[in-house]
Amino acid sequence: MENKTETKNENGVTRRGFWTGAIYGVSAMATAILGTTAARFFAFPLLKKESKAKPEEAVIDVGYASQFEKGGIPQNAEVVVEGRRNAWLAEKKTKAGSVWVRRSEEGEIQAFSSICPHLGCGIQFDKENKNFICPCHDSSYDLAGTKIAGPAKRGLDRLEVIENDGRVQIKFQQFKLDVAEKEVV
Amino acid sequence: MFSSLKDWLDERTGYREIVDHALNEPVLGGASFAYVFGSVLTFILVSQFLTGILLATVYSPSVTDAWASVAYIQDQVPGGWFVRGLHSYGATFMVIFCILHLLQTSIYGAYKKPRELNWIIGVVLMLLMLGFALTGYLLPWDQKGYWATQVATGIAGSAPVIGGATQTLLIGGSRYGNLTLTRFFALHVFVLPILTIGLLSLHLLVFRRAGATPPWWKSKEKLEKATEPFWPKQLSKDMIAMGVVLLGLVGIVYYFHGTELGAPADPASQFEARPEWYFRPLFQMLKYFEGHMELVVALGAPAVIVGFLMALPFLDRGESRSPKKRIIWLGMLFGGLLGTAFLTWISIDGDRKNKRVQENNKIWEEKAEHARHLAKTYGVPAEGGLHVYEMEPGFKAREIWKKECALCHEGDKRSAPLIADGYNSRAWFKDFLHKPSGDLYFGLTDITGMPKSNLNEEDEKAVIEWLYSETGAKDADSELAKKGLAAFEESDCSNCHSADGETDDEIGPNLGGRGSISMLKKFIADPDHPLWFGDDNEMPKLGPFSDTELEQLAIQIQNLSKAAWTHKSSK
Repeated sequence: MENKTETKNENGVTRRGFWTGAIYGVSAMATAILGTTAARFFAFPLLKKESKAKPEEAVIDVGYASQFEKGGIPQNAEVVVEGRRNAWLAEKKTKAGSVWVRRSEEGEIQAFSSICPHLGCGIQFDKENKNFICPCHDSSYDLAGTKIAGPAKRGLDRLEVIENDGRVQIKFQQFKLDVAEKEVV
Repeated sequence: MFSSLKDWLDERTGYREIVDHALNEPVLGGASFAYVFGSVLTFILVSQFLTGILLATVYSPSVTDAWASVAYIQDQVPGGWFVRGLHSYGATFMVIFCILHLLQTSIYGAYKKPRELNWIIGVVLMLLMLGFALTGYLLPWDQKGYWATQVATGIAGSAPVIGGATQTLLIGGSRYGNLTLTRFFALHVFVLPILTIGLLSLHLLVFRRAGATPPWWKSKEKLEKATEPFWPKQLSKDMIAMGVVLLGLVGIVYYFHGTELGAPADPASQFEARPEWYFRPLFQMLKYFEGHMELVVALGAPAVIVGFLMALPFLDRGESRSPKKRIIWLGMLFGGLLGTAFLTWISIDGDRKNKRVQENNKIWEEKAEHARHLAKTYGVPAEGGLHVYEMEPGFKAREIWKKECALCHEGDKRSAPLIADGYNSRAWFKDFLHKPSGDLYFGLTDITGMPKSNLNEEDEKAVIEWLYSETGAKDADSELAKKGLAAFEESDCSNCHSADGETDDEIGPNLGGRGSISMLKKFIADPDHPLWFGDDNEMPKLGPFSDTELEQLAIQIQNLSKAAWTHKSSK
């Protein structure tokens, strides 16, 4: 038998090569099998099917057109979507967010997403100053949604308003945050 | 580039010395495949941790979400069935290799001085592993997990003095619920892993002190001469064993396409509860004992086994590690193992030969498959996994039918026309026209004034086609139906019946749209309506039903016409 400190005898090199080869081989195999399994399992939300899912759209009814006075205070309406799939859950009704609705001095009904386009905090209406404010980083917007001050890169996100038989309907969408251009997500 | 980085790191951590120390550890008597079991167990444990963490990124420990989230892993997350399969069969591998490890170390006499303590730590580790198995079994909240764990916590509850409190603490109250799942989950993913990591570290540390137990048949001189460092030969042998085990595990998981997921836990069902195979011996033993003895066995048998294992280093105090000199102790150990294996076999074989068990299992396998299909297709409602069956189209209608309609319209005790497969089919119309007051039709009601058809064969065929087309049947011949309507208008039938779906002052019901979805909806909602039987109607007004419920009910009745009408009226 060979001495434990003597590693370089003639046969020892090849024998040693076999044993170390087995170590690296099994390590590589285990890493490959478990690694790809783990990567697939963990990163499936990045997969095509998931990430390219159709953006959620909901048309919500916020009341009669006559309810909104010219130049009146913006009103907040909750958005409830039906039949949403939340991973394994089949949700019947889900609160998806809220919208701000008002009628301008000129008589146009306007709707805004209540999500701040900066980093997604909930936009409030400041009754005293008659403007929209973000409670997080102090972005502020005028009644038409245009940015007045703060770190936001764009104004409030306008939503499509449909007047139907005297009722006001709003097409609810969500947008990518912290970019200058509005982009539906 | 890497070597300078390594130098930098070594200067600050001294890692080279640690690695060298670990790799150059002398293995007395040389490397051997006999020593691989501990390393294999560590490897499987690492794999269990990895797959366990992955599963935890999706799994949700609540009564309403647990089954649904596991079904989601199983059927919708890419490779989810594979990860779950690795975790589940990995647990089985753990048990098998624990037994092999125990056998190898006991044969080599590894419980003897100076390794007694490490032997005991090993026994505790084995108990922890069974704890993993027990707590993990419940987590999917499926039938087998739910019912098998009921038995397990029931046994815990039967222990004297502390049993009740233990059970209450374990399940988080007096009955199974959210707290049971959250507690089992916390035990399974935090408490047991932390204890295992701690004890395993200790196990390895203590192991390093005394080293592997060398072959008993070699002399001290021979052993010392053959001694070689851990790297590379022993490590390599360990790794080869790990590789084989991994391939075996992967192969089994692929072969069985992962592990099963039962139907959602149903406390109202009668399920054949069976534990995982390694708890079978205990399960089987409980069948043989009653009364006080049952308790003694359920708690006593595991206590005796564990007690024996822990005490073994102190019972067998002989100097020699030769198995021949330890025949009594090894005999007890192997005898016990064979006994438990025998009980396991009796239990599994008994089930295989038991018709009731087999039939029940089959029913529940089909139910599980159905539930998983519904969960994948429609999602699981917020009320929980057990409510997934309600997602099936027409489920509500079938429930209403069973509760409200079946009593009068189905079976021998009915009091109204039979509504079953073939209702409103051509064959049904034909038989009806010949025996309108037969017991399959209006014979059981007071509406018995309709005479049987006096149409000639050709006209009758046409009239039947017209009546059939009014139900909204898609395969009706519209040409023939047109002729049928004309023949109807010419015949005696039109003396009592209208065909426009509007006239409501005729003696008999209006036949326009009879059997269609919209007609059935209106009729069920208001059976007294003058368009049909008016004052003669005997069917109670049921409900109130929502529009969807009426629609589903009507669709279900309409669909009956697709089947064959095989009943024959006695009159």
